[in-house]
Amino acid sequence: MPPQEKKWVGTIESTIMRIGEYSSWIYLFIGIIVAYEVASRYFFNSPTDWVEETSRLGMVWATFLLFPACMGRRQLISITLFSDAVGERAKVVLEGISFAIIALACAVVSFEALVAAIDAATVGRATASVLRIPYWLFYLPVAIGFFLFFVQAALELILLVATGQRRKLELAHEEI
Amino acid sequence: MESVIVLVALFVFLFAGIPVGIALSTTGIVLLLMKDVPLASVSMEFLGSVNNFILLAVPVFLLTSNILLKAGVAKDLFDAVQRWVGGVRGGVAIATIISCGIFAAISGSSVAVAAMIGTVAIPEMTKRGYDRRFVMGTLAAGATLGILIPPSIPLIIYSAVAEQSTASMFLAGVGPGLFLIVLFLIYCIVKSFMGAAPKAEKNESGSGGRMAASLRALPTMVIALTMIVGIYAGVFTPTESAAVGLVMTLIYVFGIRRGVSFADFRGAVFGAGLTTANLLLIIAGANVFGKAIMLYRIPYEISQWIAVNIETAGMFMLAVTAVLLLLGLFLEGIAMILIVLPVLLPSLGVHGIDPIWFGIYFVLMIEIALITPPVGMNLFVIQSVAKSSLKEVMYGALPYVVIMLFAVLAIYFFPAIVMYIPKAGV
Amino acid sequence: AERALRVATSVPHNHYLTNVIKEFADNVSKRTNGEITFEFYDSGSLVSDQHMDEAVANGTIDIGIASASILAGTVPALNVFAVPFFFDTREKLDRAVLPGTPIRTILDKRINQTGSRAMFWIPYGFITMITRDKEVHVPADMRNLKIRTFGSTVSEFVEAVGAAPVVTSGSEQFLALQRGIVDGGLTGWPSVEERRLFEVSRYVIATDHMYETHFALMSEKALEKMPTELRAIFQEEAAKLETVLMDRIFDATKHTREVLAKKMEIIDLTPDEIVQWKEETAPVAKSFYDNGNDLAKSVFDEAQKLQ
Ligand code: NA
Ligand code: NA
Repeated sequence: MPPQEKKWVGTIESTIMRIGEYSSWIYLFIGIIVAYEVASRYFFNSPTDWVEETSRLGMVWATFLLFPACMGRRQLISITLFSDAVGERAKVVLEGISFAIIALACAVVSFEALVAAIDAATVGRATASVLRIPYWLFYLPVAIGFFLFFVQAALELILLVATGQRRKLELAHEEI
Repeated sequence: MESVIVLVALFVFLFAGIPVGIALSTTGIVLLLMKDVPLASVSMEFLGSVNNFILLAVPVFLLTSNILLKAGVAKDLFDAVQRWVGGVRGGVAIATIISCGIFAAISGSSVAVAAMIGTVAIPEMTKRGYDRRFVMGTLAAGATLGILIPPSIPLIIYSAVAEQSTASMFLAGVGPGLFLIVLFLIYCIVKSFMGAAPKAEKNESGSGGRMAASLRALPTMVIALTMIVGIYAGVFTPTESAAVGLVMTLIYVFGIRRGVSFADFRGAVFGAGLTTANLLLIIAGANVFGKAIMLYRIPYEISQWIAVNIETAGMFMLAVTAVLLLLGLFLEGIAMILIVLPVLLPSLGVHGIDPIWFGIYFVLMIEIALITPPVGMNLFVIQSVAKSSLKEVMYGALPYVVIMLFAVLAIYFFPAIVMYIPKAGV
Repeated sequence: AERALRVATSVPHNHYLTNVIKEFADNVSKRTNGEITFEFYDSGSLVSDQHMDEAVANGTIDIGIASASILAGTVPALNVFAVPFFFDTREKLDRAVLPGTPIRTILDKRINQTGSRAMFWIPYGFITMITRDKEVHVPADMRNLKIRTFGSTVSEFVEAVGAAPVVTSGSEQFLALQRGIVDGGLTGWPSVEERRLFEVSRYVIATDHMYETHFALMSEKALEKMPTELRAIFQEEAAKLETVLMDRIFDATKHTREVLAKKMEIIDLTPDEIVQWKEETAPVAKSFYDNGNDLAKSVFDEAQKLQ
């Protein structure tokens, strides 16, 4: 692979990875505000009206923006029992199919989420709470997250086809 | 017929190594297209799955475990427990099981417990001349308590899918968790006296050391107790308990202990984020798939079939156990819940099985899956922590599989082990 | 043959709301000699209550039952039914929610702009209050209690009497009461019985201070595909069914009251006490008006005429 191509590949991947890493801090922030809610309820007898919904919105942003990073790190949970047993040639083919399916599925979800965001904004759809958060704010991260997920998968597919070689041989196993 | 084709298609996707969440979503999308249902429902389902206050507990519990892991808190706890029971034959094995039980009360995942206790206990036991297989098996199995004793991420996900209260599910896990600890301890003692443990334990500390060590472990115990008692007494919901545990952990690690480096902290945060996203992708995918098969009425068809062909609750449980044992060889625990549960749920009512009891049964089956080859995460973790062969861990864990199956039998014949605590709740 | 229409609710298969929409579907099926068929997805098995109106609009389902308190996020004017004591008698309701009345006409027009059409409204009756162990008669009894609410105007009512609102979903209500996370809750009469809340609370305070309605929403896309005569059948059957629903919910509430009277203590407010509640919660109406958009203001003006 020529060096100038490597550079843009690296830029895209590190951007996606950085977006994911920054997003993960949202979870820490959520944990702290939920604890604050407990304290506020018990020590000051004044439950908040914003913590629950803000937390859910934060969770939506964090989670969808982390999806592509999961794949970049080969952390997506998959069953490798049979794909591990086949030869290298077949592994490349299976991985190519996998990336193609991921790219396709992500493109579909990203597009539908974008449409839903626009619809929600047009109709004025909002949550039924004190905050009345517009629904497009919930759909936007879905659209962005799956778009980046699509970009990452498409990139992997292109590199796989161009080189005929798998870039990362080890899957990072992940289970609770 | 349609339902058979659908399930076959899903399994082909899964076993081709396509990520579980994507395999589920894609199968779901194809099913929706076949039924002429607008795909807008897919993005709606993805949002609905993640926009969930109950599941919020997942990242927060993971974050807590990760920070404790990086801070090396496990050694304090293990040392303290060992000062108390280390003197008798097999004492370190006993300490290992008890430590796993205590850490299980803070951590929602069993892998975290395996990694935490494993790093401390394995060197200690092998140094003293314990049988290697016994050591590995005890760690792999003891760590599975992490998902039975609350908090538990599989129980959170189970309650979200089965629409049961997470707090009740958590309380239901306490009894069987203690029961399993007792069974494990009995096995450890018997096995130790049969020669797996050295005849004389070296115990370098007197009782003064005992108090000092206990004091060092006290904060960890306080965090664990606050989380469980808080849920039990109704002071807070499971999600809030996760947050309170997290903040207490931050205060403890940074205020009382030396803290962790920023790089470690960053790693803990990012790691928790990646694991959460990974899980939620599967949950969302399973929901897309679940809604799609709902349109084809497959869960109803299958439970109809079960209702006609399987007559007693006993036969039903036997069949389900066989299926879960088999799936558990290859599948991850969360995926087992998400793929199998929606199909089985309508049948529970037919046989009068309490969904809370069934959740605990399910988690016991997941625990077994965690230590059965070829795909068993705890086997992998212990193998890499101990730098031993997979075979050694596998054989060591085998007796524990039998013990857990016995526990399944026990809760079947004595459901009170599960139901007593949630029912006694005030 | 026509394709079957997908019908979704977020409540169980034997719930009042599911039964109403099944009855409607049966009537349409009969009228069309089975040309139109329906598939039912209850208990939120296909769509959750939060996404019901959206699912109807985007065509995931053809018919869905949505509640006013959730739709109020998109159409805040619907919160008018949560303004305390604005709709506390059958007479006021008949002049506000039946087809052809001004408030109904304004709100229908707005709902129809969201991509789904309100075929008919399904009355759900008055919202009342339950408490675990606190006997409440006057607003002063409410100080520092934590009360389960849903929606913003409902929360303002709770705040107005010096209590703290805790937003809890319908399904988490039982546990919140059992564990003492809340001291009481605002909820519909049917829920007290169906969700077995009488097991975890001692008192019903029959404030009956607000009204809750649901909507049978039909997808605009599905309607457009239908021939005119079929659309007419849907409209006629909807109108026909709606005429009996208000009577039915009042009868049902009366029956629920009788059942609950054996299990809990029902506290009815005296006229003097109601005056106190009205005075203390008056700021809620003001806030609804001041913070409302133009639509909310015009609905409020109409509602004021009924008082
Ligand atoms: Na646990
Ligand atoms: Na396994």
